[in-house]
Amino acid sequence: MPRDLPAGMPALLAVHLRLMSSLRSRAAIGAIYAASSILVASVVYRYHVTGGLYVERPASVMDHSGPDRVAIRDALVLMDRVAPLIPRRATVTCFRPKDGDPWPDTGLLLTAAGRFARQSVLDSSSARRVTPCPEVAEYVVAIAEPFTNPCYAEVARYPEGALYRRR
Amino acid sequence: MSDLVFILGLLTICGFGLWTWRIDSVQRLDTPARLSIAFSSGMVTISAAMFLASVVHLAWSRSLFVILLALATLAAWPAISRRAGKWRPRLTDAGILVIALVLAYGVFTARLTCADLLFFWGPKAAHFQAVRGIDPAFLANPNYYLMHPDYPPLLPAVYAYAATLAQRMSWWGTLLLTPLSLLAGVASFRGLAAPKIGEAAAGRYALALAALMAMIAVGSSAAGGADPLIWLFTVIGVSALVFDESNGGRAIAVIALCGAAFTKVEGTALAAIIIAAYAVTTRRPKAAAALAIAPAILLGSWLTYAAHYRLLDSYARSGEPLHSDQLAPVLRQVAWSSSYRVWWLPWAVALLLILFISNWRRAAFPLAVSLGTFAATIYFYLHSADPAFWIRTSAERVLGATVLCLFLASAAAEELRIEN
Repeated sequence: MPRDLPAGMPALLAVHLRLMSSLRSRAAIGAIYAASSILVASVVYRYHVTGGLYVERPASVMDHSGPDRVAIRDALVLMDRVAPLIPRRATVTCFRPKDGDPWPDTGLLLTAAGRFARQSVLDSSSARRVTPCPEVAEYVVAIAEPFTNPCYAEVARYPEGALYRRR
Repeated sequence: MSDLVFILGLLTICGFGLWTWRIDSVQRLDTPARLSIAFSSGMVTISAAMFLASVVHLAWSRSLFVILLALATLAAWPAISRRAGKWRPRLTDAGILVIALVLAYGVFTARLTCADLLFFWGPKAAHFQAVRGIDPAFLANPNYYLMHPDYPPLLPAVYAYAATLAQRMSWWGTLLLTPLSLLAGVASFRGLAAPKIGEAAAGRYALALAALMAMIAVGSSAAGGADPLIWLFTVIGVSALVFDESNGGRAIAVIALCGAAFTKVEGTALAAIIIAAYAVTTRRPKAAAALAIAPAILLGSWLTYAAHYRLLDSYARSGEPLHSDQLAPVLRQVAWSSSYRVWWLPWAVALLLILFISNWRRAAFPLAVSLGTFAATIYFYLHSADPAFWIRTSAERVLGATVLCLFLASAAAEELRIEN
């Protein structure tokens, strides 16, 4: 018999309510554990969908993220490789050339601002052919494609692209 | 090696929040919860201190941070020496740890990195560390307009703090903040909830909260961005107001609201919604107004600084037209874009647990916050003439707080079921 029976409530009804409350609590407990398990399984499923590498260290923090991951990965790997070769406070721009010329890419510009924090990052227009050679950016990081502005000479080449310096 | 120093630097942030252990409500918590509150408060404290240093043109340096850390620890010393509340490790704690490790695995295999880390949070932090302070000229550069020049500095400052200690930005280290936020949020929740709903129930809900936060982080690719911090501050702020009705509980909530407001514009909206929901559901407008004072001062000082350097942008859009005719397509796009790539499972879980709520009065506050954050998200999107891309790239992250508050509503209702 429940001890804290509300005044006037029939004992049978009180027992019934307690029983329902207990069942409800047990169902809630079961639901919490089931939900936790399903969520963790879904996390593992998402990892499977994003694919390997499973144990190797990725080359960049974006290796498995987003639909453009290969392009971003190449840019990040290249920027990290060339950063030590560019002097502090030098002007630098970064883009994926099109037909040998600079091509504006805001995402790359913003990314370069983080990777070349000790240099001065300029937008891709600072390496156009029409700009007199003394006024172009001192360094160009060209992702994947060759960069053919005669004001520049190639300093280093990697599978992901190349670093150019003003002549 | 510098990656390791960066990570250790992130952990030392706890030291800047030890002063919160002087609050009675924090003193009573178990050790994991106390450390979690210290970590969250530490982020607010160090970012505010770094902002102040920039205002007075005091360059950030290792020695400055070491002195500040020593002072913060010294100020908290009497409270540090006192014993924490009892903590008996349970099986659910092992489950939480496993979930945090699973999330850390995903983070360090680059499966959930947020693009915003590369595009603005990281570049801001790296540049601020390089020039040893917040640089208004960098923020005002029109080339970097998409970096949100007027966003408050909490996250870049936290990264720049660790980078200053390591003498280098660690992009992998930044990602660690996501599993740390999960652990801190879950431990805070469990510590705050346990006295009210019992340790066993608090442990169960904490386990489910960990799984939910992990799924939201993975599904929305949030690692390294600001949203895991917003979720952390949401969980602490709402839990403190739900489970601890004392002045100490409100003090903890104020710190969380300061953190949210000092992180980004959605965090400011979240803080305002929590305060408004608290005022309406508890019918205590004066107590709610008191919650707003510290966040208003902190954010107000940043906005004054931003206005001084003509950086205002996201915070000065009140005059923009509202495209209310777009409501139906926006709702459709938001619904379609918030599946977390697992068939809306986080929503389903949160809604399933709501079915077990027997006392809606206790659940009213978190539910009101959940509805408020959802409405605010839609309101933001309606200010864009063509928000499709914006919704596609952000809805899952910004609605994380909505899902978490739905979940917290079921945990909040657990209290009265036990008491009755």
